[in-house]
Parts: sequence; structure tokens; C-alpha cells
Amino acid sequence: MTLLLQALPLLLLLLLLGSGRAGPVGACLVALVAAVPAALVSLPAGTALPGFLAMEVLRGAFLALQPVAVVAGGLLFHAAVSGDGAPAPRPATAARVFAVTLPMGAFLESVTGFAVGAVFALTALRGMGIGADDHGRDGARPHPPGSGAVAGALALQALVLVPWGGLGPGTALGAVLAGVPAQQVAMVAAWPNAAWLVLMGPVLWGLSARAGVPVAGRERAVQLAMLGSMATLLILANLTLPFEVAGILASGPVLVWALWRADPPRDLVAALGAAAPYLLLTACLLLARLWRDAPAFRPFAESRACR
Amino acid sequence: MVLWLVSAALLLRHRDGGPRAGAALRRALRPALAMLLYVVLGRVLAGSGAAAALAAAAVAGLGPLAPYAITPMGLLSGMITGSNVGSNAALMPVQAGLGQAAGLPAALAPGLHNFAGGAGAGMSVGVLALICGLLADGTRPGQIWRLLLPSMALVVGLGSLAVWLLR
Repeated sequence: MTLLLQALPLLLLLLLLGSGRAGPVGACLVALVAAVPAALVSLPAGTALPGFLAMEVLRGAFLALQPVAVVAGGLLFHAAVSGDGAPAPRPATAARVFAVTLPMGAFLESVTGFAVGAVFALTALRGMGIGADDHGRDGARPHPPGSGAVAGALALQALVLVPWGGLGPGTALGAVLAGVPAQQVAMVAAWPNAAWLVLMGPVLWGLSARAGVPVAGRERAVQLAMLGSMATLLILANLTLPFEVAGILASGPVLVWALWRADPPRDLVAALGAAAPYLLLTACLLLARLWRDAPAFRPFAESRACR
Repeated sequence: MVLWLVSAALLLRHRDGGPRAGAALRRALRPALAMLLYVVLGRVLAGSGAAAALAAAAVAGLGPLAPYAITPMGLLSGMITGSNVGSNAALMPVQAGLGQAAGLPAALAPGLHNFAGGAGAGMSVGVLALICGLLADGTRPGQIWRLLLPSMALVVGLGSLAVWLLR
């Protein structure tokens, strides 16, 4: 009975979100109500429930400040750099499909988070006629059955660096809750994530073929080399630099390589101008991390211990 | 702070920088509230000892196989909560407790939960609803999930391999 009460908040949360009967806010509120009896049966004897709840709400609100600030900042950055137009329509090639899904999507996700990379990738894929709603009209090639699902699955390949997405607020928060330095948590996550990136090659090629864009042997070898480079950069960046920028540094150079192959820029200066905000942000983040012992308000033990 | 300063400087270049910033901040309100609630829930469960009790029960029930439950639980948590913040806030205390109770190195369970939760968030109910909404062609999340099954299997396989190699 005690165990059931302790598990009930998580079971309710998973059930409500999984069934779609409530959104994150509603499901979390229900789970919080169920967490009160769970806390009551779990607290050591002599601990007053109201005082405990008041302290944990305060502590939770403080801990949530950082991820909230990063998510809002990511959206501000996206608002500052996004153009008004959609990507120009282009014919689909294996190199283009790869460039807009994995490196481009993962880069945008690393900078802004919030599935922005997947949304961009889907828009670009539809610009190539993959999963677009023309259904073969006007002489266009008829779409294979399930083309929308294939486009969606391809777009989701953009979300393969989520622990570093939006500069990693989830990783930072998870580390605080686990009581382990965030850099160590990110490093452990980087090993299987790097292997996952490389093994995603065949998955990506299968999806690309289903979308009517088969990937030839030589192209596969180049894409595998790019995935291997991204994986290596992810490990190296987590080993040597602040984990917050590891996603950007792993996907950025490979993005340049992939775009160069898919659509060599006609105007190098304009291409550099488009990349300038991202380069500026990365440089500023790295510079800021050089400032050791910067003033910070950290009233709780876990927020002091786990940077 | 750096992200906000850089974003503000870049927004100043636009004539409509103010409205752009306002729209972005309004868009952030609801996720911010969800994050706040997730973190408070995680803190109440962790601070009261409920998370540790659940982890101990998992270890007692699964025995030596308990560490191999970390990755599938992380993947599921990410797929349901829809974000790495949500996944970590909801289940990180339980997973870290499970790792401790099973005698794993301190960062192993949190790192693997972070990996699997992040991967799951990218294939989550919420993200798939967003993608299906953008497609607007009748595609159902289940169709996309079926295509992503090899990717999910890789996540569970690699997480289990990491437990075997690094424990």
C-alpha cells in the first residue's frame, strides 16, 4: 500500500500524458496532488508535512529558474535569427535530405531546443516534395503511401542531441536532482549517444529510400563519415569544453560540410553572414565559461554543488 | 544570461525586435509553467524519500537486472513527458536512487537516464502531435512510431551495453 501511494504520482503523470487526457500542466498538477500523500508516508518521523512542502516548492521554483531562463532565451534567439520565408523549394537529393535532417536539424536543436530543429527539417523536406501535400498534382512524382509518416520520421532525426538541445537545461537540472556534476552526467550520456549517431546511418538511409530518395553506396560512405565526425566531436567537446556547447560544436562543423556538399554557396560572404549569429553565440558562451567564480545567487546546497 | 544578452543584441537589429521578443516570451509562458511544476514534483518525490523507496523496491524486485531497467524507463519517461527537462524532473531522482542502490558508479544511472530520456523526448507524444499537426495530411503518430522502432531499439540496446561495460 505504501509503495502504491509512492508510485501513484508518477503512474498518474505517465497515464494522463500517455493517454492524451491532459497536457503537461494539467497532468503535473494532478501528480502534485497525489504527491502529497506519497510524501506523507515517505517522510522520516517527526518531519512536518506543511513545512516540508513549503521548502520543496521554494527549492523547486528556484531550480526551475535556470531551465526556464534557457528555454525563454532560446526562443528569443530563434526570434532574433529566424527569417520570414520558408526554405526555397528544391529537388530532393540524398545529400540534401541528409543535410537538412541530421546536421542542420541537430544544430538548430542544440542552439534553441524545443523541437525547432525538427520543425525546420520538416519544412525543408516538404520544400523538396517529401511529405508535401501536393499528392502528385501538376505532374509531380506521385508520393509513395505513408509519405507523410516517412517525412515526419525523417524530420525527427533532427532530435538526436536532445540532452544538449537548447544548451542543455534538462541535463543541468537532472544533474542537480541526481546530485552529480552536470559535466559528468553529460559525459556518460555522450558515449551511447555518439554510438547511436553512427548507427542511425542505416535507419536514415532506409527512411530516405522509403521517401523515394535512395542513398547510393558512395553517398552512404560520405554520410557515415559525417556521422562518425559528429560522434567524435560530441565526445571530444564533452571531454574538453563546457557541456552546454557540445551539441553546437558537434553538429556545426558537420553542418558546414553537409551544406557545402548539398548546395555549395554561390556567395561565401553571405553564407558567413548567415552563420554569424550562431558563431557569436558560441563564442560568447565559451568566453563566459572562462570567468571562474562569477557572482551567482545559489541559496540551496544542490545548486552550489553541481555545476 | 549570455544567451539573453546575445539575443537582445541581435533583436535590436530588427525594426520589429520588440514584437518578436514579446511573441517569443509569450510562447515560453506555458512550457515555463510546466517546467516549474515538473521540478517541484521531482523535488517533493526526491526530498520526501518516495523516489528512493521506489528505486529500492525496483532493485529488490529485479535483482541484478535492475540496472538494465534504467534505459527503457528513461526512454519511456522521455516519450511521455516530451522534454529532457520533464523526463529528468519526473524520474531522475528514482533512476539516480536505483543506480545508488544497485552500486553503480555515481554518474552512470543519471547519464544513461539523460541519454535515453533525451532520445525519448525526440520521439514523444507531444513532438509527434506537433509533427502530425504540421503535416496535416491525416498521418497518425502510430505510423511514425512504427518507422522509429529501429531507432528506439538502438537506444535500449546501447544503454544496456553501456550498463554492462561501465558498471
